[in-house]
Amino acid sequence: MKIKMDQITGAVFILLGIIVAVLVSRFSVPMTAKYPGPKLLPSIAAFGFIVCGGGIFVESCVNKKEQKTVMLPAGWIKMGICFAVLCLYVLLMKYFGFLIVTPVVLVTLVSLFSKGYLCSWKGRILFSAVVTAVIYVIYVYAFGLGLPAGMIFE
Amino acid sequence: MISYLPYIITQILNPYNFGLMFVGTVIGIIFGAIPGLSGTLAVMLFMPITYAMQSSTAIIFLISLWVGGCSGAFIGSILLGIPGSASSVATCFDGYPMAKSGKAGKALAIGMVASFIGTVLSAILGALLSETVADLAFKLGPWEYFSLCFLAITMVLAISKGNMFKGLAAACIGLLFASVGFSPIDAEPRFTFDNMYLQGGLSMTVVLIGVFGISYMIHEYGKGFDKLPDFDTKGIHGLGLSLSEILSQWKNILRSFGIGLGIGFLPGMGAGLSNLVAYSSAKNASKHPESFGTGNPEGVWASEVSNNAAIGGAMIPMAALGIPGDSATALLIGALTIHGLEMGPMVFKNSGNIVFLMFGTVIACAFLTLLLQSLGMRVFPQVLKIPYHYMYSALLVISLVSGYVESSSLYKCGMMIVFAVIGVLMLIGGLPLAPLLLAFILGPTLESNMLKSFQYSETAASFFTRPISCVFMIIGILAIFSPVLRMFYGKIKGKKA
Repeated sequence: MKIKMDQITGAVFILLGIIVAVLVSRFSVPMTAKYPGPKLLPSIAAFGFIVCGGGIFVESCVNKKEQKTVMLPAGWIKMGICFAVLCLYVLLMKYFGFLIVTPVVLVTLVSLFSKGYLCSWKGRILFSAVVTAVIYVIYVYAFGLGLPAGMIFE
Repeated sequence: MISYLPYIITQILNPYNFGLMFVGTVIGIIFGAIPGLSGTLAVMLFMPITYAMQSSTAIIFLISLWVGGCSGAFIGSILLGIPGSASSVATCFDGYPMAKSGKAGKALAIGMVASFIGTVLSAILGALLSETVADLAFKLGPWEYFSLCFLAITMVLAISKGNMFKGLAAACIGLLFASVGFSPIDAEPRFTFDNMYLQGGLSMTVVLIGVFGISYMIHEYGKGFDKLPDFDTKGIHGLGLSLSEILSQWKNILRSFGIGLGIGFLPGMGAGLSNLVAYSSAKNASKHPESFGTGNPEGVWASEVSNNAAIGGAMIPMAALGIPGDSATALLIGALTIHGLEMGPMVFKNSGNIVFLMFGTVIACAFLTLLLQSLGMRVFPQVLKIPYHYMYSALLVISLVSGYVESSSLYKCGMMIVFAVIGVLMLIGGLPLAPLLLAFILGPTLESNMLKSFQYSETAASFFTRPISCVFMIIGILAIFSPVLRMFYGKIKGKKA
């Protein structure tokens, strides 16, 4: 039997509900009928996760219809790469600052996103330089906000 | 209210503020026009840059983004048949057939004028009514505020499409996010894991941009971008709409306006619902209902007047009660809190000038939007042709930078990526995002009022013994069970037939 996406979603919510409930039970202020205290809101969330997770799971089991594939394996890989680029961007900004890392990341992102589309290297580089400069000028000079300078330059 | 007029005029006409209003309106129209982006997303992305601004300047900028977004949404609907945002879904039904039959210019002109009428009239009425509503709100206690927040969240669940369990689960994620940090009243640390960044609670910018902005763009990339649209702008020139044509629609305009204002006023609802209700109402009232869906201008009028009328409608509970009318006002409440403005009945006493500046800005933005759209009628549609690889790359960088500038910490950027992963998983799991947004923003108000109610009355029954609270609670509970009730109603109707 093929596992449906909704069955996974339901199971994840049930598990999440149990984890939240365990964490809530460790709060020091007790929950009473006269005053529920800080446990109530997260308890509602935990209860909701378990009930909704169960509901999604059961509904999916009862429903005989095949569920459409929501994301192809290639899509998962593409998203994983994109997240990795963003994580690297944040990490590199810490050391090299906004002005050096941003154009490189923009060229990378445009190259990733433009697969299958017409997009010259000259265009990518020019776009990245212009966008970096525009963001820097707007944030730093127009609004007086700070952008990462980079640890090695501080 | 009149006494604030000189203040409003000087603030709006201040060159710096006016410049920002111009930029905000243009950005808003662009975000509104592009399917998938919206004025709400524009408010999210640009909110952090307002932290360094004065409150009045920040309000003008944020509202211009919102109004521009609401008013620009019809461009995508008419030219592509794909709604720019949920507020203009019904505009597609007749706007797109009009464009296909060579009447794109007329449809766009109707969209512009209808948006303008809806926005201006609703803002005027909103300004007139909000203080009265605020005076009434003084009679409300924490029980009523709790039940109003509860109602707002459940109403979003009731109108969210698809699986009800998924809508509820999304709202629970919002409540869980709202629980992070020190609890109100008892100051109990919750889900902080001894991390100092979590002790103050989750940042609104980080959660919202992560879950709504970054996740959407990465999910689209994973799915594969759609082909860039192809449309013709040659037939678009001038406003192309006579006064008699506008006046001939007065009944439709008034009806749609009333629907938009009323739905916008209801907590948790907004333009996303009003345009559909106004459209079906216009169809029912029309002498030629069969022509709806084939390019009847009445459909475009109804949808566009009502979705913009929801702006003023949503601002009334936002200003008077501190309860958002829709997602965008929920964000504005959060942004104003950061600027030290607590929305609710007291705001009229403490910062009445700012409240009326909000309404004044909406009116000024409506005029500016009409002018910009009339002049740039052939230019704005071109934004739909911006390649995704350029647009999304730039927006991803702006999103992360927004996370950084909020607290000058790259840690927040990392958290934003974590929330983007959650957002992507939600999108893949088919979970609606609107209930999360509302539950996350209303969570603290909901909890603090609930705890206060228990402190005063020491019983949960008090939520049902106070008449106003009881009504809100019952409607809220009915909204949760509305899919089940609708199913039973459908079955009974089917049996009778």
